[in-house]
Amino acid sequence: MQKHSRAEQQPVHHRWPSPTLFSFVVSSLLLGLACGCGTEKPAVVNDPDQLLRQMSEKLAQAKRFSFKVNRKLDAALVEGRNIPENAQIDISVSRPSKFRAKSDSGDNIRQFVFDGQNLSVYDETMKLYATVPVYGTIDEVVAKIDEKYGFTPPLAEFILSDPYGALSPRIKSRVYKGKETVGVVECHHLSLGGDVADSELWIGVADLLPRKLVATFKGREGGPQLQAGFSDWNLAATLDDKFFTFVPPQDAARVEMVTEAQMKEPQAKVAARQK
Amino acid sequence: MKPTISRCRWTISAPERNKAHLVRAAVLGAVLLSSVSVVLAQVYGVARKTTVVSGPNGTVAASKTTVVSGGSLPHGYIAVLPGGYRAVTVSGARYYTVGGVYYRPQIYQGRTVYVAVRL
Repeated sequence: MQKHSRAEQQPVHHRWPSPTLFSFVVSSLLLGLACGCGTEKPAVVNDPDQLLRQMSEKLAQAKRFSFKVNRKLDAALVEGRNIPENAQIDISVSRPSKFRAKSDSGDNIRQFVFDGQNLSVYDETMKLYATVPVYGTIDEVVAKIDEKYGFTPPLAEFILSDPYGALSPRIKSRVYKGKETVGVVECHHLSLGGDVADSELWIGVADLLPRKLVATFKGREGGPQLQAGFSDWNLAATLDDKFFTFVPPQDAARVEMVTEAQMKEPQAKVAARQK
Repeated sequence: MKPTISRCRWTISAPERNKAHLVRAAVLGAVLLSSVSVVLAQVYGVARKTTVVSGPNGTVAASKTTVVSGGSLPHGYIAVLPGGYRAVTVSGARYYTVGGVYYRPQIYQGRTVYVAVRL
């Protein structure tokens, strides 16, 4: 029986590759090591926290932008009324210190206008407006009016300079649920658990912009929901400064904007009388 | 022969008694000196209320956050005027009247509310 040498027994595919391919592989490895890429962990695909950050960065980079929101509020979330509210909201922002939002719920139209020095709330339906002096950036003003007057512009978290910073502290759990289509837009679906509300957020795959939000509020019977559908994003909107200046119509009457502290006073008096 | 019944008594030594007094005093102090703060803030524009019970040294003893929107307005306030109202101007200010009751409009939490007033 004829014996074959080891070299002859070695299969062809175990032989060294061609010199060109060998040098390419070696140089690629060396290049990778030089870049430090060899030690880096592979990028986490579809990490919910990373997607939230990317959405936040995309919004933060836009200096003048506008978008629309179709917001549905369950009755339990509408102040002083026992009926659900479906509103079309147009929001325009000029960083760092101007915004305008118009909310139209059919039976009521309201505007929120901040020009960097004054915040005006205009009830277009009743022809009533209130203007209060508030100075600062959008972030500062949202915090101030939240604290003093007990409200914020609709979905204010999405117009702050750092939406991630505003949303993240409330989020206790983050889960990536996969890709889904909202309207005609392919989106990442995130499930965000929180103490006050559990939220489902859909972020566009291509543009990383928020497309849909469903928040279910805890601690209330029936788990009332807020649903918001985002559309018509324009991250390079042409918005004149005059657009953010509120000029009250001649037939509108000025009224007082009541603070939370003022509203508590009568309650405290009633409580004191009852004791 | 009569059965003997042993009676168990809680006997506390002087140092333990002092310790018990100290614990009681600490609990009483914590109750008396603790403060309850209520902070209102918004989640997606929906008002939430956080009640924080702080201990005497500033530690958080308890904290609860709930959604408060949709609750009833303070006494005397309404969100929607009764049907048949008409606007009137009194001393340059706008009021609404219906059924002999006058209402002064105000903006509260970004919405118009009406408080019953006497003119």
